[in-house]
Amino acid sequence: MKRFADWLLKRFCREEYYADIRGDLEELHEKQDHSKPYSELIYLKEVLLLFRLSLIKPIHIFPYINQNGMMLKSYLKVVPRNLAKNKLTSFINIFGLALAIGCSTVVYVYINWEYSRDAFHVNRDNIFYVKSAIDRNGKTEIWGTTPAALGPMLIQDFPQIENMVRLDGRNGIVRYEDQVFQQYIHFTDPGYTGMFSFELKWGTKDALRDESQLVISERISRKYFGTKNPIGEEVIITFPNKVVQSYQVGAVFKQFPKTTSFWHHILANNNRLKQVDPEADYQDWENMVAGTFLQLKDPNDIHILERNMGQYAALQNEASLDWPTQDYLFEPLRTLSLNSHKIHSSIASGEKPAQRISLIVISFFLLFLACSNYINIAIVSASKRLKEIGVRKVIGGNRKLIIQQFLIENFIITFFAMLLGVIMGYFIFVPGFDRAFSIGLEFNLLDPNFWIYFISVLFLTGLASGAYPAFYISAYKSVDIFRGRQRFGTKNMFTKIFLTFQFVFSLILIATGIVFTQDAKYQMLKDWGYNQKQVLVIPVTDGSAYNTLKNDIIKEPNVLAVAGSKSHLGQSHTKSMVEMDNQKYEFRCLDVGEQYLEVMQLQLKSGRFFNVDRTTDYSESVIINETLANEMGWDKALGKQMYVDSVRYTVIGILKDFHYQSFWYDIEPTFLKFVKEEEYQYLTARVNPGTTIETNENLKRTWKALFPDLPFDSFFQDEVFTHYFSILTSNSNLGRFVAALAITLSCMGLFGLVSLRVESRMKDFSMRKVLGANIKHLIKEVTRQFRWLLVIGILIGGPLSYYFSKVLMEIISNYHMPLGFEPILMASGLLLLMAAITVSSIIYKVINTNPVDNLRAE
Amino acid sequence: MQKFKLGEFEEIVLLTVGVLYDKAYGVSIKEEIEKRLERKVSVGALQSALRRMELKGYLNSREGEMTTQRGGRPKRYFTITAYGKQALEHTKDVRLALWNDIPKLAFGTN
Repeated sequence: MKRFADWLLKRFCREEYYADIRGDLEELHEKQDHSKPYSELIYLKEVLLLFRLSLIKPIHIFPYINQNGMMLKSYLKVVPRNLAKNKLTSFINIFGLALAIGCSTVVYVYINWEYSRDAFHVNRDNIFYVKSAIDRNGKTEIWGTTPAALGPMLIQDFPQIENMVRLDGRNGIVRYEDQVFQQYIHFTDPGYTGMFSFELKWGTKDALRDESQLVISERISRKYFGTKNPIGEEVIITFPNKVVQSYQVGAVFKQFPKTTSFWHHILANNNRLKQVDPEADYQDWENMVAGTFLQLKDPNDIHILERNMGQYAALQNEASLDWPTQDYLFEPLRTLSLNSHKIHSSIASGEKPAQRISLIVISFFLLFLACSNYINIAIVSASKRLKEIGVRKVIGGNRKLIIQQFLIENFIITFFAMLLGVIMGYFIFVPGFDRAFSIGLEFNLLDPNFWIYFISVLFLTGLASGAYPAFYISAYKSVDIFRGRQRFGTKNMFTKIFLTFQFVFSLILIATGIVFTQDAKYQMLKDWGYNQKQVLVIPVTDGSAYNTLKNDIIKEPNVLAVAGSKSHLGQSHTKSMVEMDNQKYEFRCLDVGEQYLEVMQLQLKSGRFFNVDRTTDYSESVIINETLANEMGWDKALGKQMYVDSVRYTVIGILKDFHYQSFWYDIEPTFLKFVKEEEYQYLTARVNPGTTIETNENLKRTWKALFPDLPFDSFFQDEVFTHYFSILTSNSNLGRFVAALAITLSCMGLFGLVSLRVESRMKDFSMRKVLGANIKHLIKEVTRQFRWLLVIGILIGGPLSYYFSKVLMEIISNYHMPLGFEPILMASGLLLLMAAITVSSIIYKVINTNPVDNLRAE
Repeated sequence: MQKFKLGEFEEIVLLTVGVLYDKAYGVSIKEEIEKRLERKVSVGALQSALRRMELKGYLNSREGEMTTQRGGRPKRYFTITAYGKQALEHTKDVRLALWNDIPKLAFGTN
């Protein structure tokens, strides 16, 4: 520590004072008799206190600026001249950098968006989301659901809480005149509109205090009422259990801000939930709501709450025996979206950080490619500027000045590239990216964050691309330059390393692009474990509706078979507690009806399907999937017994694994129960190939005749993963785009480099031609410098890209294609091919020039 | 127009340099002030005051003998210049004049 302090002192202290100040310090230090580290700390403190204007070395800032003011003018003159002198390489430099910066702008906008989510809430820092830490067979899981009774009790016990809002929801059929749609209705506390800063288009913020009023989103307003002001209009909501409630529209939200991580389209006062669902008792600790938000007067008080949550967990555990709650935790609204992926059934949306990281890595690669283009070209093209450097040195420019000149020039170029890049980002890349992933990004040029980003990228890129060439070029001795003794950059190790790395990174990006594309194709064709094609699904209100509809549908000639069910693959399921050997498990449960397994063409591994004629199948039989059997370690699962809600069931069949959810998710242990017609909520029909749309239209007509008041919400089974596949397609498009960009950048760089080198060796080539060199020889000569680098690049890049794409694939999907070597080979081939095409034009030029033209000059 | 610029701390340092006469160098000044005023003085504050006053011409300095202590660095001894003495006297006069002009009532016992 003392040595550091001494070093520091020597750095900043005026030389004429240094010796005796140092002496004083030493003397004082010797007099210290404290323990060693302490006394050294005092020493350091004294040194730091010496940092005073009258004692520190003068900084010659003013002469610096004065001298450079003149120089700056000269640089500004030289930059455009140099750019104009070599249009091709200037274009490569500026345009390449601009492309990379355009991409990094997208990354900036995306990350800025992720971090600014929910920022529009005025009370954002004071709002906390309550999480439950639940012990599930020894594993702690964080859930977003909380007991309904918790919120009111907290507000009673803690005066620090200003506002509390719970959210819960039910499906219902919402009708206004002849507009009938299935909607999800959120029941909440009236404080909702005060806690969150969603702006209102019409109506008042306290609309929810009146239990007969609804608050709806602008989208719902437009869907039901068009452009008119719907305040006071009456809507009727019919819930699945036949409860009918009528409401007036009390307020309409403005379009939700694009950064919001949660939104609710229809909000009702939660006092009315009890009429809909008698079990939704808000005093009962067993009744869970989808989310509880607290708003504190002072956000720091959250620690007081945190310390006292144990008692409430105990209350909850008394009431509910399922899984013990260990504690209640709080997630600030500020970080809710970022951490949402860690919370089970979180109310807010949010992406995993992996997405951010891979985007950053990709944009870093692209920037690297563009910067190394710049560096390579700058080093090689220095040969053309050597005379200028020599003259500058002779007339008194020292090395520092030359470095300065190059750096400033470089900043000017980077600045223009940056402008061009941001313009491209603003008009092309960001909107394109946004459309591909339908995120709702906003690119605000006035955002201070944007300027921080702009300036830091400018400096990073400016320095990264300019520093090395500046130091390299300025090191030449003017005598050597004028005597022509200097060999220009041909044997530069740095250029070689950069070129190699460029190949490595391009290969990685190309391979990733290919892998993504292939994987998207693979997953599109991947078996879902059942036959999802030509299946039409119609949600029905109850068993009698099912029956009526079924009798009509069966007459339809294109309908091959009809099935009923309460749950539906990809759409609706329940989670059930299962007891086996005194252990509790939670498994996914599907309640299926007649013919369901047959119509969906689920594959039986062993055992049998349910049989309508066996009454015992309804009450004591289950069918399980392979994953469940594996989880339990059952070799022969048939005949095994399990308890669901204390009722004993026997396994009668084992299904091959099927994908209930998209390939993002693992296949969960699942069991199927057989339910009677009264409980059916879906009618599933398998229709003749090629007639799905036509049949759907026919069924719609039938439906309108049978149930004029109910919405016809049919869908095709192969649409249930549409969102997944659209993201997948966007990813593969992005991958291809980045790959194309990488190829373009590295080829541009290669072209610039080789053409510059060939140009400076034109005489050499002409001599060779005169002396009888053939085409093969010339090709060999031209490619000599980078042939091996390309090979090395591929050798290094191959394994790296295998690893990189493997990591990315695992992030994206759990059921990606098996990764082989052929994408890497394809990528290598592509890279070689593109390099060959790039260089061939240069070779063509070499071959076709008349050697006399080059040799005559002197 | 102020003729002599002398801050409070500067004045104390200057006086202490006078008190120590022949032996006024960094550490001794520091210790003397600390002893008399019962307050901590950092090397930085002291050195910057000394150097400032040297530039203003209140102080002269000379390099002392080499010693084996102090990491082999010489001491720098300070002495008051005539101009420095004037500055001190000026300050003292101003103070005195002020003292004398305070009406008795101002310090009245009531």
